Order: sequence, then C-alpha cells, then structure tokens
Amino acid sequence: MEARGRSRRRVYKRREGEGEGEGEGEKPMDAFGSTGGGSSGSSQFSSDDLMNQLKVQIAQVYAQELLETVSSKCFQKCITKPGSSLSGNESSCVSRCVDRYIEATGIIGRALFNAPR
Amino acid sequence: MDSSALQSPEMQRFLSQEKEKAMVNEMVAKLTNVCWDKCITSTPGSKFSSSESACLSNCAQRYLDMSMIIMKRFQSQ
Repeated sequence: MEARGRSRRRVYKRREGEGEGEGEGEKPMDAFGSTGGGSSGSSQFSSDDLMNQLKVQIAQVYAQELLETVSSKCFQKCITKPGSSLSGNESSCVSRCVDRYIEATGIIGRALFNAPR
Repeated sequence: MDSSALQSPEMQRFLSQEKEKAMVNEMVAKLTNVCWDKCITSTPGSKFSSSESACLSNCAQRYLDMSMIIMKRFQSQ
C-alpha cells in the first residue's frame, strides 16, 4: 500500500513537475482536511441559517396554499357568470369574501383549540 | 452543512415544533375549507351573521367528534 501511494505521488510530482509541484500537490489536501474539521464550529451558524430558511419557506407555502383556496372559494361565490370584465359588484364581493374567509379561519382555529369541550 | 448539525437537539426540537405547527395549520385550513362550503351559503357580506359564525364553530367541533367516532370504529374492527 505504502509503495503504491509513494509511486502515485511520484507520478503527480512528475506531472506537476517544476519543484513547486510537491507543495501545491499537498495544499489542496490540507485545505480540504481543515474545512472538514472546522465545520463543527461553523455548523452552529449554518443550522440557524437553515432554521430561518425553513421558516421562510414554510410561510411561503402557507401563503401560496391560502391564496389558492381563497381564489377558488371566492371565484365560486362571487364570479357566478363571468362577463367580459369584472364588475364592481364582483370585485367588492371578492374583497368581502377574502376578509370573511380569513375571519372564518380564525373562528375555526378558536373553535378547535380554545373552546371548552 | 454536515449531517451532525441536523441531528443536534436544537434542530430536532425546532423540526418537531414546526411539524406540530404545520399539522395544526393544515387541520385548520382543511376544516375552514369544508365548513366554508357547509355554512356560507349566501354571497359573503361585510360581516358574518351570528348563525354563520355559530355554524362555522359547530362545524369544526362536530368534525372532530366525528373523527373520534370513525377512529373508534376502525379500532374496534
């Protein structure tokens, strides 16, 4: 095994050649080794980062989901016969509908978790 | 990021908290979806009528009751 390792190094030396070859050949190895060892120190930071990123992504998914449901519910309720453009009636219905849907979400949440059962 | 950071107790706590929050949110969202269809039959006004809001909260609670019954029914088989 040792003999093989040595012979490989020799090959690299020869390829990189010009005296500096040996030093440069070792450096990447050292750098790689030290990032591997040092990551335990920096992982505290990156796990905080990960948590924040997760929170943001979860919030985005919720918002996306709410947008989709509210759109489908309020389209059902308010745009019963789609015309060539949204009428004033329809758009005010939509804005009331959005408010009510969010209010309904609050009522359901309270009913599930705050009501004496 | 190495994998040991994901195994840290801090991260585990965070993940289980978020999982729980997600479950709660999903439940509320689903019930709102279902109960909206059941309870809000007219075009939405500027305020819920008292019967509408009572219907919504009854709907959520009865859904839970029903889930319990179905769960028991499945367990007894």
